[in-house]
Amino acid sequence: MVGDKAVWRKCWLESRTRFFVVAVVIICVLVWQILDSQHRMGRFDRRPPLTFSEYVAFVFAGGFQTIWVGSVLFLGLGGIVREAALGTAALTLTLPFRRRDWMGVRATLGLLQAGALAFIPVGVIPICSLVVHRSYPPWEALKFSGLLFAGGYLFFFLGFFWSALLGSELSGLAAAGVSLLLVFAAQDYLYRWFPSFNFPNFNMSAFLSGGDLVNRTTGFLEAWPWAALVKCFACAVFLFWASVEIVDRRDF
Amino acid sequence: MIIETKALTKRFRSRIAVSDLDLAVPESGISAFLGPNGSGKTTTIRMLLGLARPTSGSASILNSSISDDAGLAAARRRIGYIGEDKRLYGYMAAGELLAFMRSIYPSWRDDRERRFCKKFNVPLDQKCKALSKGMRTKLAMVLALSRQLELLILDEPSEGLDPVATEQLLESIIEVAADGGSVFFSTHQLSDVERIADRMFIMHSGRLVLQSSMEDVRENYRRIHAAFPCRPPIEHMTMVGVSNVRVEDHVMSLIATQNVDTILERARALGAISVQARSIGVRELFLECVKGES
Repeated sequence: MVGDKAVWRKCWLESRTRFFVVAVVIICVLVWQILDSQHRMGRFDRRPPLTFSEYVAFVFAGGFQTIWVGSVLFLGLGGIVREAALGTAALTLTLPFRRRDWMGVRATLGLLQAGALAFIPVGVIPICSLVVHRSYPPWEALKFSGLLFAGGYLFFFLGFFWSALLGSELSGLAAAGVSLLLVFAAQDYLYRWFPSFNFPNFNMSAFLSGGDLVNRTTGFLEAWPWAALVKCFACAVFLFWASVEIVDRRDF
Repeated sequence: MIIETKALTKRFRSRIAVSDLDLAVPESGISAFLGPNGSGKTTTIRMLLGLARPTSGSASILNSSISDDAGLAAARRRIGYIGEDKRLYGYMAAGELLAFMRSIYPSWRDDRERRFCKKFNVPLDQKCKALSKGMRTKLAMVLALSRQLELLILDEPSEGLDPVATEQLLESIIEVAADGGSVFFSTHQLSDVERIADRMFIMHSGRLVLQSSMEDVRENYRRIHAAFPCRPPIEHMTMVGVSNVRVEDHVMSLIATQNVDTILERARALGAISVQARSIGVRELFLECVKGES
């Protein structure tokens, strides 16, 4: 049963180290980027000069996005497949739960962790801003974080899917890394290199940080890319369903 | 039947691990599952528990079909399993693992947990990854025996255990059976089988080559040697109860699984100058089954 506390507890115990390590890395990067904002903003040679809000939008689009996407992909790897490598899959799968129960709980917990990581800036950025005598509205950080999470949890399922399909965390990581490159870079390049094929010009990185929906003056997010979010949701559902079907058929 | 398989088959690419297995394990008592390495014992157990999916055929355990995931998961509440390598969650201390299992099984018995932990000297504060294989086996036994079981499945449980631990393990198995539970265990330790098993199943090359109660083996199975003045007429020895017929010079050797008196009479009638029948042990029967099938 999916609601069984034991399943949740075990999934939490097995993922908490990764989660906390990633959370610490994200907090450190954000703190450093905000505390060093004066110096870093000066590197944007722009007239009129970059505002602090615009700088924060760049933080969301840059280092934070890269680390978060990599982290959720990393959180998606493992599970029963990892246990098979460690030799404990037989113990887990002979407990009175179905494989899809384990996968359902792991996916839900992973999403919660991905969400928690995505929303770290909501607390960190406004607080650190005060230290450098700036201010940033938590509500605006919440919108950027919400967009990153709503579009980016797909990458959690990308890691989930590849490790289920390849049966190994390492090869899953390699395959997921290649997939990331394809999603983030190749589509943009395909559009540029083969314009006659009419590839849709979709820039994943810009989409996750608001892209054209960010007000150029205020640096705040003004609308939501609903159509793209629905497509991400559909892709994530498909990847989850495929992963469950693969693991259900696998021998351990 | 507590375990029943019908034409159960498992194929790994071109290799057939289990072939058309028809197994019927009755309720209660201790059943030994024997066979040489690679004979399909572990694969069969893994299929029964839902760890591996059969290529074809069907099976049920505690009346739950292994193809019904929800039913099998529910059945596993009443099944204890100790696997071949006894791997446990390395990041948990033994005490934490016990607490984890206690939270899963409503039939958990604290008194039993305390008793078995004391009996096996389980170091509760030590991480499972730091435990020796023998200690992991003991902890796995505590995990399995601390709840009310209907079926205990063990895959080569005494492997890697010292004689004292093996003795404790066998005592525990007997205790489960005495409490009304059923035990199904695979092993290479034929002396253990002779000591504690009520029935045995012998696998070879993925097929079941013998299933019999120990009582039947003791009462009815006989090794018969018949010496003839010329080449033994084995073509006339085809009858019910005769198996594993071998001829060496003028001596015919066979195993009688029933009708011993009739077989002896037939040998004499065919001109045997000397006929001997003696009881057969598990080791001899096992080797005969495996060699015969080879």
